[in-house]
Amino acid sequence: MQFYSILFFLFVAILFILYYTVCRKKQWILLLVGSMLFYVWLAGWRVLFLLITSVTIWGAAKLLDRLNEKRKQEQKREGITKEEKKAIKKKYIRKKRFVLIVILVINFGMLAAFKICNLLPGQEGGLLSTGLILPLGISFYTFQAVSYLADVYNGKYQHEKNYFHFLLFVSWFPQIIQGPINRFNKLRDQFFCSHSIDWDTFCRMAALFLFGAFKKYAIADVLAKTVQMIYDAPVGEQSGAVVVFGMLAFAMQEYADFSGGIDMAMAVSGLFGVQMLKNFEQPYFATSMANFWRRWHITLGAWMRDYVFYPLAVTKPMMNVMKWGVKKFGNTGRILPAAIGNVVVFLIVGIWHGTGWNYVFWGLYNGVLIAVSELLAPVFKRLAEKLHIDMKSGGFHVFQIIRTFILVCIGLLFEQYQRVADSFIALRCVFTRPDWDLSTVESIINKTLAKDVAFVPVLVLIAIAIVFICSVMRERGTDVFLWIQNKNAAVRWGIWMLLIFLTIASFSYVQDVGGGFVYANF
Amino acid sequence: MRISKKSQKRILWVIALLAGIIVLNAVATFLITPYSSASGAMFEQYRKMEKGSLDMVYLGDSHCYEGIDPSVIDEKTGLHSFNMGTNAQSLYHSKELLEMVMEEHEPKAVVLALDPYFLGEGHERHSRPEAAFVRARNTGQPISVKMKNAAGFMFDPEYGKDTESVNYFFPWVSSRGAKGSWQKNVKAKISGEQPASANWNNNREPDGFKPFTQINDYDFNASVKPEEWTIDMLSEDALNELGEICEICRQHDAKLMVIGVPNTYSWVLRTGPAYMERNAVIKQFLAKRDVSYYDFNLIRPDYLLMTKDDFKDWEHCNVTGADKFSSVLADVWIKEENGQSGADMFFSDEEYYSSVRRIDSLYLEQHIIPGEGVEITATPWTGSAVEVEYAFAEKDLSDSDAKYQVVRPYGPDATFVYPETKTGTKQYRVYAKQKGKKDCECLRSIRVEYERF
Repeated sequence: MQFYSILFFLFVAILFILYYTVCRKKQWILLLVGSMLFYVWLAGWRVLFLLITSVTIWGAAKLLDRLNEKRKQEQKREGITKEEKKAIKKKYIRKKRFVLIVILVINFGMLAAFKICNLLPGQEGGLLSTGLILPLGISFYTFQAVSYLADVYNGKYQHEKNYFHFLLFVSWFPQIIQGPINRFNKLRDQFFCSHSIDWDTFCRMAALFLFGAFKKYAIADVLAKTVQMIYDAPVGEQSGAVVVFGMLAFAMQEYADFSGGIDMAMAVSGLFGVQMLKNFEQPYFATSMANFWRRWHITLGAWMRDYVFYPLAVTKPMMNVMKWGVKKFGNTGRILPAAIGNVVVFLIVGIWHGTGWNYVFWGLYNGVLIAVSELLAPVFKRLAEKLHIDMKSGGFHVFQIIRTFILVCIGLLFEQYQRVADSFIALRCVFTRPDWDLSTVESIINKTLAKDVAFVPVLVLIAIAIVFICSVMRERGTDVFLWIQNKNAAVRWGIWMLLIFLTIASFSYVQDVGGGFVYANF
Repeated sequence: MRISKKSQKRILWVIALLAGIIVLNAVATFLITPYSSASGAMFEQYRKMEKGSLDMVYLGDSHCYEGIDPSVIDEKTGLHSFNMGTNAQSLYHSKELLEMVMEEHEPKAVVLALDPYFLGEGHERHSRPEAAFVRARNTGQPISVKMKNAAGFMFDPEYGKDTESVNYFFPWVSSRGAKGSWQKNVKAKISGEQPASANWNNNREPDGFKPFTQINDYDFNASVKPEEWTIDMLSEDALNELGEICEICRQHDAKLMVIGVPNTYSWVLRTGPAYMERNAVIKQFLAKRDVSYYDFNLIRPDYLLMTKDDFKDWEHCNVTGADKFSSVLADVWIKEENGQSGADMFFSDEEYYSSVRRIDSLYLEQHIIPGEGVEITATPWTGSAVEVEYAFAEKDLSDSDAKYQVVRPYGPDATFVYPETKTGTKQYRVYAKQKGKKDCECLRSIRVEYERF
């Protein structure tokens, strides 16, 4: 299902009208009905898996709270000793842990089974033209539901008494295709309070949707065929210029596709007064890999941090590693658990993205880079001091951005090539074939971008420039929407019309590339 | 109910925005979309037909409207026929046209020019030609019909969830004229006259036929690539549509004949033996429904001999080819009408492959071998009985006066590695001839850019 389609527009329009008129008293019920209908419409009988996840996790959270209550009651018994209280606590921790593990195994097991074993071959489900076989959004809603269970387990909040409230959180339709991975406590109040139409919010969301569509269609989809041509070609036969161009094009495509889709999802959610968690923050302006992952797919990174990294970091083995590290390496040893944690986290992130060895390698690449940079941070600092480099200067900041961007682009090679060795061969071409005769790049552009309409490359560059300018403005804390709205009518109208028509025009020079989201196979 | 000034301003803003989009859209549509389209041209001529006057119609894609000349067939058969072929016409739209024409004319005969491409899984339907088809069908119709047809497209399960459902409102997105043609379009729209051009899709004869005079350049036009095809690529949905077309004809007591329009040898041979497997499936499917299937690519040369000059490109007849083919099509039709089968006019599978006696064209593949050079492999599109010999030549493109130098004279090996030691761009050429003959029958060139090894 494309966000930019008549059926989706109609679906949202009907829901929107009912939400603010007829169903004002029970808005959340309408959202739940709408979300479930949406899921059944797209995924059919596979809604069963979503229901299994929601029922098992909601039930488990209820059970956890009940165990907490029982523990408190037992500990309040008259005449109970301290040791007995401790023993009761231990007993209930074991019980809770057992419940948690069983439910995690069931739900992650289902996810793993679909990802690795392709349990349901030949699925189409009327979904994206890419022939998706996973139940729609299974990665996103599983992670989201598990975060709720983990929060209840950790006592962050009590379990949600109303199963249907929880079901709405899991099945919320704007997020189901490609995230973000929300948190229950962030959305709960928004879902269940009353909302009225707000004109300014409506305009802002409309603008956000337009910007998301602009990124997705005028940049990502237009670049898709070019990227495909470069990475489908036999590896090792390309010039360094083509390899670099391919990395840049894919970097643009992936960002525009994913963030564009997220913008559209956030806009639709915002129309109903539900602000989802931010998922992108100008990632290509990151100054380090760690910083990059705090700007790219933010909600995934936060999930990993809260539910994998931190729990891992405080385990006994990790504490022992830290003690050993401090003994051996002094203060640097304190960072060892974090370094190991990052490697583990990114290994999981890699596998989450795909089951091939290239994804595993890509995950490890990111994890190891972050771990090494953290371990060597003191060394770099001393080096900078020796070389009299002002690490706070603008020039150094730009250096950090470019350096990080290069590292990210190298990582993208591992995403593109199924064989890890092919990525290294392609990378080697950058150095062994430094023939910067851009005729090979020009040839690829002529066969793809400029095939039907000569000035398409110019339009794409304009689109990228617009996104870049907006990113710079956001990086500086400017509210871009407000900035446009404060301009005079001619400028304002000119900008909106330009975005609208560049987006629509882009469809005319995109051949059948599929059109589905890059990040929707999750 | 009083509307506040603020609300009034907002309503006006929304109206102004929509009006702005509508106006800009109208301007873009006027400037960019062609005066007519292949579908538009067909409907324009069709609507001139008096209701009930058509005895026979031809349905199909460009193979149909470029390959079948109704005037030739009418002369032989005495029927009044019309060519309803449109660009990339899917079986779904063939069925829609059939329903429409049955209602308006009740023809007693239907010929479906079947393009096997549309029988492939994932290829059954394409949004842009279908959108153009719907728009063309809407031209001159009452608003209620236009809205019904447009809604039919936008809410079609195939397109409703896709971007094309919204882009229907922006015709200039999918209907664009050829490069540099917008001035011609604007002139035509202002004057109301179709731009005259011999080799342009949008000029049809009154009987719906589109004659093209150009001849395929076998040595220059983009070469014919091998097509991988297996039985499981056949689309059930497409076969169902084909079945429904058979049923509609049966219900209206109209005789249906399904045909394959002649293509070049290259186009047929590129699929290999799978071509015949596919034909067998189609034949069997139609035979169950009592419908004949004749693939005119397999017709014996005694009845129809298509030469290289009878094609406009690899898969379409030009006017000469269409003339020849239409005449024989009429003969087959007459045979069928008289209760005879035309099967004896066609080759069997094995007979066909050995009947192809010329090297129609070459397909070249390049592969760079680091440290050695550029490997070129030639695949000839020719019959099973033909022995081919190849010669390899090259031309250095850095020298503007350079000519082709033969680096390997004629031999049976279809692969050659051009040794290269430095970066450059060369044009490699392969010549092909039949063993025992002197003259080159075809050649193919390929430009390769490569880096130092």
